Formats: sequence, C-alpha cells, structure tokens
Amino acid sequence: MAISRSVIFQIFHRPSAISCRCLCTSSKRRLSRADPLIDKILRVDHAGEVGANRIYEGQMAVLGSSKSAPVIKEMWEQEKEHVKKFDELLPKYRVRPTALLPFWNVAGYVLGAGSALLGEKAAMACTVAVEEVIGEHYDNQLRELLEDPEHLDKHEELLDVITKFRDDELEHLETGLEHDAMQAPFYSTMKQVIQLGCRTAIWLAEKI
Amino acid sequence: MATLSSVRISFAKSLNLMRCVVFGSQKVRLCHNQNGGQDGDKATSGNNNQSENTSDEKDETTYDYTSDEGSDEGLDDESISERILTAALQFVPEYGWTAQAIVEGAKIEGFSGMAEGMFPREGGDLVLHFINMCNLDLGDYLADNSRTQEEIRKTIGQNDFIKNAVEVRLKMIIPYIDSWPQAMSLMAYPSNAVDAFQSVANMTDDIWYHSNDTSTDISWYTKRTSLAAIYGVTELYMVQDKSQEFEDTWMFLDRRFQDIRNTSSMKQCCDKAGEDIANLACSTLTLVRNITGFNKWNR
Repeated sequence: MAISRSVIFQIFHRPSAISCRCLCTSSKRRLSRADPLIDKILRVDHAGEVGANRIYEGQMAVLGSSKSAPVIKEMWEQEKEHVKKFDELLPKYRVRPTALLPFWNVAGYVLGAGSALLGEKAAMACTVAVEEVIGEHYDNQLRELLEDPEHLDKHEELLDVITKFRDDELEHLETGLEHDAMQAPFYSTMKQVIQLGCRTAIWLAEKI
Repeated sequence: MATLSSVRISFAKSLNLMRCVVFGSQKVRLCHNQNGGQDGDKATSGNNNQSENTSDEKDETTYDYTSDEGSDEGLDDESISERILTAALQFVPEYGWTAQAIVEGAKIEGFSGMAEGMFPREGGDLVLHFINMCNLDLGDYLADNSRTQEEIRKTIGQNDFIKNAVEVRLKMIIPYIDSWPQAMSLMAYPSNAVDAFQSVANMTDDIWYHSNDTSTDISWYTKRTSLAAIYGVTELYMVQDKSQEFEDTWMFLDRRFQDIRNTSSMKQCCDKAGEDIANLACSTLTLVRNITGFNKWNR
C-alpha cells in the first residue's frame, strides 16, 4: 500500500524537494540525533496519543456505568496501544517528549470529563471533533514523509505505524457519528472550539 | 611524427617540473611555519603528547592541501576554523583561553595570525570547541560501551554507568585544569551561555541515552537536569581540588549519587504516604456518613 503510493508520488510530485537532504552528508563526526522531521512528527504524535488517552479516561470516569461505556472502553483500549507504540518509538529514534506533557494530561482529562458531563452525545461529539483533527494531522504527516522518496526505507516503520493509527482514528470518528454525535447540544460550536484547541495543541507540541 | 611526440614529452616533463616547483615551495613554506611553531612549543611549554598528536594530524592535512586530488577538501570555513581551534588548544596552558592562543594556533596551521578575526567570541569560541570535542569523544566512548546490549545491562547498573560516564568526561578537562576556572567564567557570558547550555544538554542526553533510558514522560527532563546539576557541582569542586589524582572529587561524585538514591527512595515513601492519606480520608468520610445516617440512600 505504502509502496504503491510512493511510486505514484515519485511520478507526480515535486522533484525539487527530493535531493536537498542528501547533499549535506559529510565525513565529520556528528552527534547522532533524529532528523528534524522525524523529531517533530514523533514528538507531536506521542503528545497527541497521550492526550487522547486522557480524554477517554476522563469520559470513562463520568460515563463508566452508562450504556455507551463499552464503546468508549473499546476506543480507549486502542488508544492505549497507540501510546505504548510511541513509548517504544521515542527512545528508539532519540526523540525527546514534549515538555508540556503534564499540561496535556490535565487538559485532556478535563476535556473528556467536561464533555461527558454534558451527556453521552456531547462526549461522542467531542470524540468526533478530536479524531477528525488527528486524522487530518496524520494524513499531513504521511504526505511530509512521502515527500522525500530517497529515504523511504528509513521512514518505512513510521509510515506503517502512522497509516495504521490514522485508520484507527478515523474508525473512532465513524463510531462517534454512529452514536448520535450530531445531536449533541451546540454540536457545531462545540466542535469548532475543540478543534481550535486541538490545532493549537498540535502546533505547540511540534515546537516545545 | 617522432619529433612531434618528443616535443610533447618534453613539454609534459617541463610542466611536471613547474608543478613540482610550485607545490614544493608551497609545502616548504607550510613546513617552515609549522616547524617554527613546534620549536616555540617545545621551548615554552614542551608538554603532553596531545600536541604531538595534533601535529601528526597536521602533517597529513598539509599534505592533503598540497596534493593534486582533493585540493578543495578541508578548505571550507568550518574545517579551517576547526583546525585552527584544535591547534590553539596546545597554547592554552601558556596563554589561557584567549585570543592570543588562537593567534598562535592559526600561525601553526600556516595561516596569518589575523585569522583570529574569524572568531568573534575569541576565548569563548575556543572553549566551546573544546567542550564539543570532548562531548563527541564521550559520545564515541559511550557508544562503544553502550548499555543497550542485553548482557552489558545485566552486569552494569544504570547508576554506575552514569557515574562512570561523568568521571570519564571530567577527566578530559584535567590537562587544562589550571585555566579551567577562566573557561567556566567565559561560558557564563551571555553570548556563550546559550551554546554552553546546549552542549551540556547534548552531553547529558548522550549519557542517559546510552545508559538505556526509555522514559517518555516528564522524567525525561528531570533526569537530564539532575545529571547536569551533578556534573556542574562536581566540576566546580574539581577546580578547587588539590588532592592526589583528584581523589576527593571522585568521592564527592560518589556522595552526590548517594544523595540521588536517597531522594528517590524518599520520593517513593512520600508517594506511598500520599496514597495512604487519601485512603484514610475516604474511609473517614464513609465512617462519618454511616454514623450520621446519611449513607442510607447509597445502600
């Protein structure tokens, strides 16, 4: 899947972006660090999954005994898998975690619990809003990674992981919509506010 | 036809001769400078084998410089400045971390003393170069002895590994220990502090990475900060240490790691106590509700 996409990319997209990174190879000793693109991607993804994990935790704390609990529980389990995967990848690629982690922990929990307090539908609306942004975000990252086909073998693991996680997140989006997310009070306003927050968080986590 | 080829051969010969003359003279000039510098070095400080090493390396580099192929190599700004600063290190015991040491280093590398103008931060650049070189050496050393392999992980504890790494790194500054206070003060200048901070961060990250640290939460930061703090205070202690072979310093380092162990066990105690208090509070609340009869609707 990933390979066929890369071939299409090689044929159609910007040849100029391909070779810039291989010019700067030099024989001198350098500190071995992840390249800036991987650094950015892994840091923000790890932060995002930790945040998502906390959102579901907050929702479960409120809706633990309601009828949508099994659905939320199932999604939460998948998010836990994601966090575990990034916990492995971060030390492997020598990427530092974001410094705002304690803040995401609190913010995620508050968002999850807060939306759940507004009712099950609102909780689902929150899931829809968040997963939509995360899905988009993963897609952007896949595009960035495919932009230099020279390093495809180096990025192969990341491409696989991100593709799989993107599909999982979009599945959560579908689940949310199936469980009447659209009927939540002030659905569109709530969605916009949450998505704005998510985008800010992503922007921050890439930098700090 | 025969005359033509003989003419061509003689022309080629003369060309070769000219080339020999041109490059040979250049080489002689470089060698001359170098010898002058070496004599000066012997006369003044005449110390350690490090200067010998650097002059050996230099022989090779000057040869590269004059040989036909790869004559462009080693001529970009970065590697020139690296060469000058490396050569300048041998003058540090004499002139300290100053512009004068860089001037001498530039001369020994066959450049004009004016090359010192490449380094706007003067001594600061020299110290930073030295620190970065030490960090790279430490990185290589750690990569060779990395704890990431399973069998090594079993034999060496993480604490010992880190302590050993700090010790190795501190030993690298022993040759310059007399002028090291000056270097430390240079690193505290606002213009150098950012880079100095960066290099310390790189060093601590290297050490933790090779000690097989897999934390991905906020402890990633606290671990590196505490290691940097330990390194900093031990460095300060070392500068004032007059004992044989810096024994006091290594004992000081031991005690700092002991402190870390004590604090982490204290932290665990505190966490446990916190949990217990929370449990106690919950059960007290339930008890009060039971006694006052408010718990009826919960049954």
